[in-house]
This record gives sequence, C-alpha cells and structure tokens, in this order.
Amino acid sequence: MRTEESRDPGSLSRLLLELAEIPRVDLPPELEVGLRPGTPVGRFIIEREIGRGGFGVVYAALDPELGRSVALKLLKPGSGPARKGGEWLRREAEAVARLGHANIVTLHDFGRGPGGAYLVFELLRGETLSARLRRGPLPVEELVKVALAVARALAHAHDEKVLHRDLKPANIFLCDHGAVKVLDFGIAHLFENDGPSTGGTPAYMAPEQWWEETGDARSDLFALGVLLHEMLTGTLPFGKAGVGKEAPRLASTVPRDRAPARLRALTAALTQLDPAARPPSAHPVVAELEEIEASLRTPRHRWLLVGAAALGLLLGAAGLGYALLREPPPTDRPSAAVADAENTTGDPDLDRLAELVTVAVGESRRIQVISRERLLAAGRAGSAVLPPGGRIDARAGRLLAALAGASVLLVPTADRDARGYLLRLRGESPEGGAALFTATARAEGKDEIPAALDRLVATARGELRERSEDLARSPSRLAAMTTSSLPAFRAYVEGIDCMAHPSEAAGHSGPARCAAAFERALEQDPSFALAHYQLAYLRSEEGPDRPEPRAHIDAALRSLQRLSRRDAAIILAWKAHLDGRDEAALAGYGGILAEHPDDRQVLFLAGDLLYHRGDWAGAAPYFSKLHRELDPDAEWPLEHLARCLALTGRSAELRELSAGMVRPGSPATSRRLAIKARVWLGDAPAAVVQARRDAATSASPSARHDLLAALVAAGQFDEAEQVARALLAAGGPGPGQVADQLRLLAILGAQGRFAEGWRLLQGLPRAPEGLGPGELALLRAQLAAGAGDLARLRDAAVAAARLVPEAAGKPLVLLALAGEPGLALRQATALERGSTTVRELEAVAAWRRGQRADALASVAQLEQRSPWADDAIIPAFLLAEFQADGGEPAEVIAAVERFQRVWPGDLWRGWAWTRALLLSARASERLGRLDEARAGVDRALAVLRRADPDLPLLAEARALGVRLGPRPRGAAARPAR
Amino acid sequence: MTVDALVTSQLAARDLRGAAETVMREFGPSIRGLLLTLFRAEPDAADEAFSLFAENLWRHLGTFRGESSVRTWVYCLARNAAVSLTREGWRKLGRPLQTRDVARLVEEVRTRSAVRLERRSSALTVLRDALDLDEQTLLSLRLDERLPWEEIAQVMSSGGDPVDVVAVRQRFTRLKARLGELARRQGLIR
Repeated sequence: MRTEESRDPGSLSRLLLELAEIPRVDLPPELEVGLRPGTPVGRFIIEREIGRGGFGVVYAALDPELGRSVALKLLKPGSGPARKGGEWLRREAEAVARLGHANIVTLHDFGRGPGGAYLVFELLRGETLSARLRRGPLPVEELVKVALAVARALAHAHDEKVLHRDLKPANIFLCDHGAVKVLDFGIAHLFENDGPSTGGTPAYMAPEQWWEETGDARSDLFALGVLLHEMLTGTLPFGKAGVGKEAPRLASTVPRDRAPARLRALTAALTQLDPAARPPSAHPVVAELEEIEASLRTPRHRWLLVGAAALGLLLGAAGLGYALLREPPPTDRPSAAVADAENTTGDPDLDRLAELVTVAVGESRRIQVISRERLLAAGRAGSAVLPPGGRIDARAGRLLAALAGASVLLVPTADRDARGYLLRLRGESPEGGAALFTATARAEGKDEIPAALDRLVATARGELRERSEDLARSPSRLAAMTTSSLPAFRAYVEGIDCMAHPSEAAGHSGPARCAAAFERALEQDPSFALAHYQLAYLRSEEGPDRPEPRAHIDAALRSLQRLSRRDAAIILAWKAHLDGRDEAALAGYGGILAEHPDDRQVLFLAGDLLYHRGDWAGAAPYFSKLHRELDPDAEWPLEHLARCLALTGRSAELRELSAGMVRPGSPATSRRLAIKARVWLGDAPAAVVQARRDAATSASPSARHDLLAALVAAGQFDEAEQVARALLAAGGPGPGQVADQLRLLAILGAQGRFAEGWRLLQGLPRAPEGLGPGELALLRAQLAAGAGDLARLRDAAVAAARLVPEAAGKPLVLLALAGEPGLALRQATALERGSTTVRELEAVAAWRRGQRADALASVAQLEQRSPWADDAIIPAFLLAEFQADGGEPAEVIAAVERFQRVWPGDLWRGWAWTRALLLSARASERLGRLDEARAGVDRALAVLRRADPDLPLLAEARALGVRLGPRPRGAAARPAR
Repeated sequence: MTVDALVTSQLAARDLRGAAETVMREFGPSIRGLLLTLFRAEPDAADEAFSLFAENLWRHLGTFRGESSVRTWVYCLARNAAVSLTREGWRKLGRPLQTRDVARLVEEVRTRSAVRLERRSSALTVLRDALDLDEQTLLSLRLDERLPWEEIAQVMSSGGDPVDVVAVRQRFTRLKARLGELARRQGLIR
C-alpha cells in the first residue's frame, strides 16, 4: 500500500520545508556586531570592519605570516548562504580563482574555519563606484575609463567562462592609485554548471535574469549598460525596481547633452531588452570604449569641435569642457612611492633613476609622491625589517609603500641592449604586488634618457587617471628642466641626499660636503640651473653679501625660462632674499605652496627664512607640517621644529615632541635631538641619563659627544673630563681630534684649571693641518677671559681683531666685559653694524658707563631676537652679569637658568657655567635664600676643586662660602642649578 | 576557534560583553527569524520576544557552564522567551495577542477573492496556523536549521518536563502525517 507521502513525497517535503523556513533577517542595527579587532580567523587577525552587504561582511585583517593586510570576506551569520555551509563562498572562490586580471580583485585564498568559510582578497584602498556616484555623475573621461576597465574585466571573465551576474556600482572599486576593480563574484555562475540564475540586484538585472533564465555574457553587458547610464546621468534607466518581468519597450536613453554620441549609442545598445540586440560579447564593447577614450584624449579644443559637430550643442559641450577642467576631489588623489631603480646596464649613472622619476612625477598636481624618507619612516614605525644598505627594491618598496599608505608603487628599471637603453616604469599594487601597468620607453643614447623618462612618466601619470588637461598644464619635462647629463643629475641627487642628512657628513663640514656634490654636477653640466641654485643657497650660510651665492643665483636665473614654474619661483625667491627682500621671497614661497601645499622643499625654505628672521612662531607651522605629515624622519625640519618650540617657550609641545624622538626604532639623529631638547627644557640631568644610555649602546663617537655636551650642560665636569679624555685616546690625529681637545679645554675652563688649559692650547697642532693664528687668538682670548687674565685677554682680542676681524666679536665683548670697553669698541671696526656682537659691545660699554637700564633693555631685546646667538655671547649671560651688579637678584637667578638651558657650544661657555653658578648663589644670598646660596657655592667649589690656586673666581667662591658659613648640621642641601 | 570555545574563553576572561556579542552575532539573526516565524501574525510580538531573548541572554550568559552547546542553550533561551510571551504577552504588549482564529478569518476573507497563487499562500497559512508554538519550533529547527534530534530534545525540554529523543522523533512523524493530511485537504498536494 502506498503511503500518503509516497504518493507525492517530493511535494510534501517541499511543503514541509516551506512551512519550516525561517525568514532570513538581519539584527536590528543596534545589535549588529562585527568581529572585534584582534579576533583570529584562521591565521588572520581581524583589524576592522570595512563593509557589509546582504550576505557578507568584509574585514581588513592582518596576515601575520606574510606581514600584509588583506580583506577577509565572511558570510553574515544567520544569512541564507551561511546556513548552507559556505557553499556560496566556495562558488565565489571557484569563479574568482579562474580569473587573473588587473581589473578584477585578486583572490589570495579560500579558507574554512570553525566559524565558517571565508575568502581572502587583496586589500583595496579607495572607494566603491556607488560611493563615488553619491557625489554626482562622473566626468565623461573618467567614466569611460571606469567602463573600459569593467568591460575588460568582463571580457576576461567571460573568456574564462565566468558570469558575474551582479554587476552594480557597489561591486566596482575605484582604487586610490587609479585602478578600477570588479568585486564580488558572490553569485557568479560558471557556464558549464547548468541551472537557472538566481539573485542579482533588480535595477541592474537583464530581463532574462528576471525570468530565471541562465543568461549569458549579454546579461552582464546589460548591467554594464545600466552602469554607463547611471554614471552619465546619475539616474537609473529603469528605476530602482529594474525592468521587471514585464519589460518596458525602450532601452536607455541618455540625454544628448550628457555625452558624446558614440557613448550614448553604446549605452543604448547595451541596455537593449532583447539579448540578441546587444553586442554579442564584451570584446567589441572594449574596442568601442577604447576608441571613445582615444577620441577624448585628443586635445581639448579638438574634442570640443568634434563634440559640437556631433551633438550640435556647443553650450553643452562647453559645459563638459568646464567639468573636465575641474580638479578631481582631493580624496581622489593617488599617492605614489618610488622604489630604487633596477639597473642592469652596469652604468652607475642610471642608479638614480628613481630620483628622476620622483622629480618628474612630482610635477603632477594630482599625484602625491611619498618621499623616500617618509617610506623609511613608515617602515621603522611599522617595525619592518629595512633592506640592508638602505636600498628599496621592489619587494621592500611594496612593504614600505603599504605601510606608508601609498596607493601605487612605481618601480623603474633600466636595461641595455643592442638598440640602446630600454626604460620601464612598472606600477604595482602595494597590497599584494599585482601589476597595474607597465610603461616602456627607449633611448638610443644616454643623453636621450631624460627625455625618454619624460615619456615614461607621462604614460604612468595617464595610467594613474591623471587627465590630459592636467598633464598638459604640469608636464614632466626632465630633459629641459633639469639636465640632459645623467652624471650631473647623479651628483645633484647626491647633494640633495647630503642635505637631507646633514649629520651624516663628517664634523661640521656638512654643508661644505653637500656643496661639493653640486659643484661636481656643475662640472658635468655648467648650465645646470638647479645645481647653481643649491650652491647659492648653501653658500649664503657664509653670509648673504658674499659674491659666490650671487654669482650662482645669477647663473641659475639665466636658465629661468627652461625651468618649471615652481623651480623658477624658488630661484626668484632666493634671489629676493639675497637682495634683502624677504617679504617678496616669502610671497614667492606662498605662491608655490598655494598650488603645491605639500611641497617639502618650499615648506622648508619658507620656514627656514622665517626662522632666521627670528619669527619662530611663524616658522613652526611649516616645520610642523613637514615633520608631522610629510617627512617624520628628515633631520632639519625636526630640529628646526624643536628649536622653534624651545625658543617660543612651548615646553609642553617640545616635551611631547621629544618623547616621540626616543621611541623604539627612532633614528639616531632623533635621539640626539631629544638630548638637546631636554637641555632646552631645563632638564639637563634627564639629558645625561638618555645620553649615557645611548653612548652605552652605540659605537658612534657622536653618541659620546652628546654625552659630553649633556654632562657639561648638567655641570658634571668630572665625568665629562673622563669622556673627553677617552674620546681623545680613541681617536687618531685630524680635525676630529682638535675638536675633542677643544671640548676638553672648555671642561678645564669650567674647573678653573687654566694653567693646564694653556699647556693644552700650546700643544694643539698648527696650520696647515691644525689651527691658524686667527683661530688661536680667538681661543686664547676666550680662555684668558675665564682666567681673569686681562693682559692676555687684551693681547689675544686685539690679535683676533687684526687676524680675523669679522669673527672677533666674541673676544671683543669679553674684553669689554672685563673692563676695556673703549679698546674693544675701537677694535670692532670690521664688525657688521647692528650685528648682535656690536650691539652687545655697545650694551657692555653702556653698562660700564653706569647706564645699566639702557644696557639691560638693549640686551633683553637681543635675547628676545636671538637667545641662542651662536656668533655672540649668550645674551642671558650678559643679563646675569648686569643684574648681578646691583640689579634684581631674582632676575639674576632667572637669567642664569635661561643661560644654562642653551646647548653648550663655545670654549667660553665652560668657565661661564661656573661663573653663572656663583652669580646665582650670590643672588640667592641677597634674597635671603641661604640654603640655596650655600648649595650653589658648595657646588661651585666642588667644580673648582682642582682650580688654579690664584684663580679670582675661586677666591670669590671661597669668600661667599665663608660669608654663608657652614651648612647647619642635619640640613639637607637643596640642589643648585 | 569554534563559537563554543570562543564564548567559553570570553566568559573565562570575564568578558561578558564580548561573549554576548559573539552569541548575538552568530545566532541572533536565526533566533530573530525563528521568533518571526513563531509570531508570524504578530510582528510586534516577535520583536518583543526577541527583546526578551536579548535581555535574558545578557542576564544569564554568565551562568552558562557548557552543559550543552551554545547553540542549544541559545535556542532554549529563545523558546523560553516565546513561551513566556505567549503566556504573558498581553501584559508586555499592553493588549492581548491577536489569536490565530482572527488571523485565519482575515485570511479566509482574502482567499475568496484571490487568484490561485494567493489561494496557495492562504492554504499554507492555514497549515501554519494549525501549528502550535512547539510544533513550529520542532519543524523549523529540524528542517531549516537542521539541528540534530538530541539538541532539539534539549530545546523542547527547556522550561518544562524533560522530553527524550524518541518522543521528539515520534512527535515529528505525527506532525508530518497531520500536515500531509491537511495539505491534501487544502488541495496543496495530491
């Protein structure tokens, strides 16, 4: 007997399933929770949720094994596909795995974990087309580019027998670097798998999909047609509900003023309701779009004519022309990193192709070039193992570019064959390394390489979606703009490298060494304007009135017409500065920055100009932008920023900045700067602690020099002497040894050991290898001033004024301070009127005449303008001396504190430290703060423990000690600064 | 890591919030769907039951000791919420729940003037309305969620007398036969 069920078992089972079915619903928004950051999925670690669709959730995740970020697609728990055990994802994986195309998202892996199946994709940066469309329709040129990319992706997928079946703006991704990628083959269908198609998004579904027919390539082409219509008009041709089962009669009709006729015709053909009336495959669509794209690439005036003729609507076409001229929104700007060149030619002149590419791409106003420094900084911040020797090959480049957030990595290569040089520029995705494009150019001879590079870069800029208008407005013209001599360019780049890392140049000869590189460049190409400009800039450090900077700037000006607008503006600005027209120079920089707000060189130049004018508050934002946003590890911006903060008393910001300088992985130069910053902040003991740690872990002499300076700043002269002697014992003869001997000399001065100091000075090597008579006179004067030996000071200062008249300011101020202002003023004829030292001389003379108020006002003003005056006596020290002479004791103490915050430098600063301590102790006594006074004098006497017995300063200290009497038993000494 | 292991480790780490999030993420949509099925004629009631479920999840998850799988425990919680709302729904909603009879009347009125497709839908509604809460739960958990008999037995035992696997299977067989008969009467199957 047949049971009821057996009569129609299938229908009952289906009925029961229908009754049992639980609707697929989402949680209310407030309960939708994704995976938390840090949750492991397979070997991946979830970083953040980046997207959520009907069935899937996409997360950015880290692959710790390969050290890269990926996109993980998981099914939404509870969704229909999730209940079917991940079959959905497996099918998507199967479809995408067949495909390998630049316009299709790359699938890395398919995995199954206890939480369900997941797909691992390359992580894309940018936005979906739907997000882009929310800002309005796309300009024709841009939408053709997108449509072409999608058509190419479809042509490839269809060739591989994969249908997408859910093409829509949300499944098209516009990457930051310009690539367009098709995503989400979630309901993709393999031709050989029979079965009706299900799913899709109504607005984009072809009529045959509505009737649950399998469909073919033409169903995807229908969706492409809908997309084109939407991109052109911002509206859907068949509304949100799509064509439905009862299809309308008309295909898409794009208004005539919205697009060239060919594009409208293509859109209409693609959206034909009858599949047979659509193009048979994606290939002819690709060909048509390529031709449309080519017609748009013709010069704009020609396109307008063509457009006007075709549409008969000049007004509409002009409107489009306007739209095309508009800058893309800032968020659309791709950022490019450049790897070091792969040079197989054997010619080292081609090793620096990367820099040429950087210069050429840097001309673009659309593409942001990430500097090498920023790449390396991102690597350090991301704890990446940096390539040995600092070379950034393609592999390291990808990692660094990904860490720096670049949207594309450009890899230049140079090969040589019988026909000459073959240059390539490969664009790679930093995430996953997929090849995005390769531009190729040939050069028969070496001289043609810059021109070939221009062509190469122009192609690459086009690939990165830079519009032809923009390319025309800011073309890459390396050959004309820089030099046609590769050896000259190589030397130039070496000079630029040198300027980026001045501390790597030996001793104090950094700028000189950098200048030598630019001179080599000029030997190769005497008309190389940029090299002339750099020399004009560097040589200006020696004084703007020198003839050399002027000669170089004039040479650079002769080539002004050949240069880019930016370079020409930079040269004109420097010329204005040399002519004393700083306001014009600043206006020039401002003009460039208005167009190129991230121009690192100009930001630095503008900041530097303000800095040297004493406008530290005005300069700080330039250095801050450079350091915080563009080049975190570049030395000069960071140092200047720290100085600006210190000089404007922004201690909290400086403290925060210096904390960042000593994080693990910070470069040595940052750590060194942090030591200085601590002294500037008045915390010399902390500077000593850090310097000691750095010296213990670094073999570099500079670490011990920093320790030495920190010890001097903290008044720890015994240990400083040990470090100085160890440095002397370790170093060989040469300029470094002389510098170390002078450091020791300063320490001996602080300790009052002048007899020993004189012997050391006598033994110093003389010119030509060592010190010249002028330099010796300067040193003798500084030492004699500390020893209180007026006769010697007089002789040495007069000798210095005769031998090195322009540099004799400091000895003359010291001479005036010691009681000979008249003589000092008479010797100062060669000093620049109005200079800091001359004004100091005049102030000391006024003080000596009893005009204390005038003297104080004048020096206070100087301190305001130039508190760290390298070429003069530190104003705070003079103020302490003036105030000590019957002035306000509290002002003495404050001035001494400010003086002690200046990073130690000159020889005179050694003995001045101890003298300042004594001045402060005396002021404390006058204020009745006897404990502080006693602590101060005790400390001074400790420093002077081995001083010459007849030293006047020692006698003064002892007298004060006697006056104050012994410290009361049990009283704790308060620290004295 | 399985959901059970993840929840267990989160509870061990006193991360109640994390554990609740995991449960809600993994099972929340299914539970909400099940409650919508059980209170088909009363979407407000389904929402109310789901709120009750969510509230109880927070309140009791800390006491979960792994005696059953997390999934079973969560379905028990959902069934209890549904049962509780059926019993006390009028108090929670501030009005009595609409009865199945009323729903059926509405459907019948519509059926008379509807096309064939509509008739099928109405006939299905008749079948659905013939299911009580436990029967719908049984049907959905077995056929849609594909839970093993053992787990279904545990869910059906929650908040009441223990029900063993054999009894659940027998009840399912009887249910199938009754629905088959009803479906034939409605002309849904031959």
